[in-house]
This record gives sequence, structure tokens and C-alpha cells, in this order.
Amino acid sequence: MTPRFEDLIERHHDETFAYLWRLLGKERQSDVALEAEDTTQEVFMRAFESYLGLRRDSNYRAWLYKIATHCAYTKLRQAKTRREQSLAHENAAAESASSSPRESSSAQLRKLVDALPAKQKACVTMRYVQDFDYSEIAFSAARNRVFAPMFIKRFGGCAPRSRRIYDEITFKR
Amino acid sequence: MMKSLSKDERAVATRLRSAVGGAPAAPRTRSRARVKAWFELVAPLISWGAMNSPLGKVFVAVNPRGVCAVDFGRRESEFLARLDPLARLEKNPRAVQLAIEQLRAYFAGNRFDFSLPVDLSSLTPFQRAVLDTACRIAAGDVWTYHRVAKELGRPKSSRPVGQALANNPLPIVIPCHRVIASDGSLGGYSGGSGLKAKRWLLQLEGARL
Repeated sequence: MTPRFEDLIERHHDETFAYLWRLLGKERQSDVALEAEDTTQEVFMRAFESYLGLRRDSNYRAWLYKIATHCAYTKLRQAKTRREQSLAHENAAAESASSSPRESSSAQLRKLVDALPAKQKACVTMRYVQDFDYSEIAFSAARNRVFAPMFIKRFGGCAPRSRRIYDEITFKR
Repeated sequence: MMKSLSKDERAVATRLRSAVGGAPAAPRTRSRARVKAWFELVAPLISWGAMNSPLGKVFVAVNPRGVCAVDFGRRESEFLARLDPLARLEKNPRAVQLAIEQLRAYFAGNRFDFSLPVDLSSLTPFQRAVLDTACRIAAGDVWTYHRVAKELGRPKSSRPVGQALANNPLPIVIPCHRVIASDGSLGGYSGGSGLKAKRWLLQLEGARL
């Protein structure tokens, strides 16, 4: 039986908001909360439109995260100025990653996560913070089950730097 | 939580979770209120209520167009789960008062036809045509599935007629129980306790079986 949309809001609103807040946040700027609010509403609006087309045995949580991830990418792409600022932050964070000691403080760790490229950040957040398994990550952000772990460990053109940050996060460096 | 993580990953997850922290409470609450306010604006409202009857609890749901669901002999949760999943549900006995009054009169044997606005917009044109035809059967009378199909101009469609009747969202109000098999047996009935309920309804209406 298809769950009621009302229940979907009740059950998944808070984690969707938290996920978007983490994805859109860079150094926790003050307008991130507002942007996360906007995007959360957009996620549920999109979900509402296509809800009846969904199969009954679907993973509704992973489906919501898929929409949330796409909405977050779009927001990040649209905010060009913001992205430029983010890139500056990434570089700064990457530099700090190379110089930071293994026992980084929470703030440094937060910077490291923020410095990851958007897609990798989404996958890392889903895996370690939202407790998704690889098939759910594959459905929500990566292309398939085999690629999901790779998306988490190294991604795209900036692979070496991302790998370094990832190793730092996971105590491997 | 952490059900899908390996032992090594759990250590990373714990470290990461404490570092990134949770989303701040105030914007989260604001966002929840905002999404709910939007949902109240866009989602169709379905009001529902229930009454007791000799066949068990009868549930009735109405939307702005009319009565959209009637069911009996089931649990409340089962009835609600079958309503439009996008709709906002509200228990409101006043909204369903007219339908409940007419159903009470029906069970008391005082009236066997209903005068209610109904919403069959979720059905296909064929299903609607079948139910319209079923509404023409007078109380105390029974038609066969074949006769309903013939009335529709599709004499070979007895089986689809049966399926359309089985999916009647408004049993009792639309008298699908007045349709029986060609051999004189009751055929099928999906409301309440099934054939027992069908027989009970037909006897109430004075049909000769």
C-alpha cells in the first residue's frame, strides 16, 4: 500500500532538511538555513507532483534523497557567485587538510567535509551521517551500486585532492 | 542507525556526526511548519466519519465533489489507507452527516435509494458506466452480470463488469450487491464479510433469492 504523503512529510522532513543543510552549507554561512528551508519545500513540491507515478514497493526515503540531491546540485550550480566563494573555501580547506594533524578538531573536520566536491559530499554524508547503504546511495546520487563506493573515495577530475581529504576524514592519513 | 556500516566505518561515522552536528532546531521547525502550510494549501481535503450498522462499522469519506469512499467491516486504518494518498485527511463527522443519515435510514429499512453527490473521478469511463447502470437496478430486484453487460451494449463483457463492480468505491450507495451470477448464485462481493454481507443486504431490500 502506498504510504500517505502526509506521513512522508512527518517521517522524513527533519532528515531531509538536515541533509540539505549539510549539503548546501559551506562554513555554515548564515543564509544556509534559509536556503535549506527553500530547498526542502522544493523537494516536497517535486515529490508531490510525481508521487502517484511511483511503484508501490519503492524505497521512498532513497527517492526523497534523490530529489533532494538533485535540488541541492541545482542550487549550487545556480548560485554562481556562491560557488566561486565555495571553491575558494575548498582550496583553503584542502590546504589546511594537508597541514592539519591527524586529530583534527570538529571544526577542521567540518571544513574538510565542506571542501569535498558536491557529489562526493552528498555520498559521504549519505553513507556516514544518514546511514545509507551503497545501493541506496547508488539510487540517490551515484550511477550504480558498483560506482557508489568509488564516488565516496575519489571523484571526478579533482580525484587526488578529494582522496586526500577523504583519507584525512577516515583517519587514513 | 549505523546498521549498514562496517566496524571501521562506524568509527568514521561517529567522528563525522559529532563534527558536522545536527541542523539547527529553529530553522528546522520553521521549515517543517512551512512545508505543512504548503501541503494544506495544495492537498485535496478528505473528511471522513463512521457509524455503527448491523454489518459492522461503516466508514464514509467525502471530498469537495461528493462522497468518494464508503466501506464497512474493515479496520479504520485499512479504510484510511485506501483513500487518495496525496490527500489530507480530517475526521469530521459533520461533513459526512448527510451520507450517514441516509445510510442509517437504509439500514432501518426506511429508504433504499440515495440522493448524494458522489465523486467517481478516479475511475475509468467504463467503470463509471458499469456503476451508473448498477444504480438503475431497483431495490428488491437483481440483475445478472450478463444483463448489466448487455445494457452497456457490450454483451460479452460480463467479466470486466464483474471486475468494475468489485472495485466499486461506494458499496451500498451504489448497489453493486444487486448484481448476481447467471446461474442464480450470488457471484462475488468485496464489501464487509463478502457474500454473507451481500445476502444480508439483498434480504433487507426484500429480494427473492
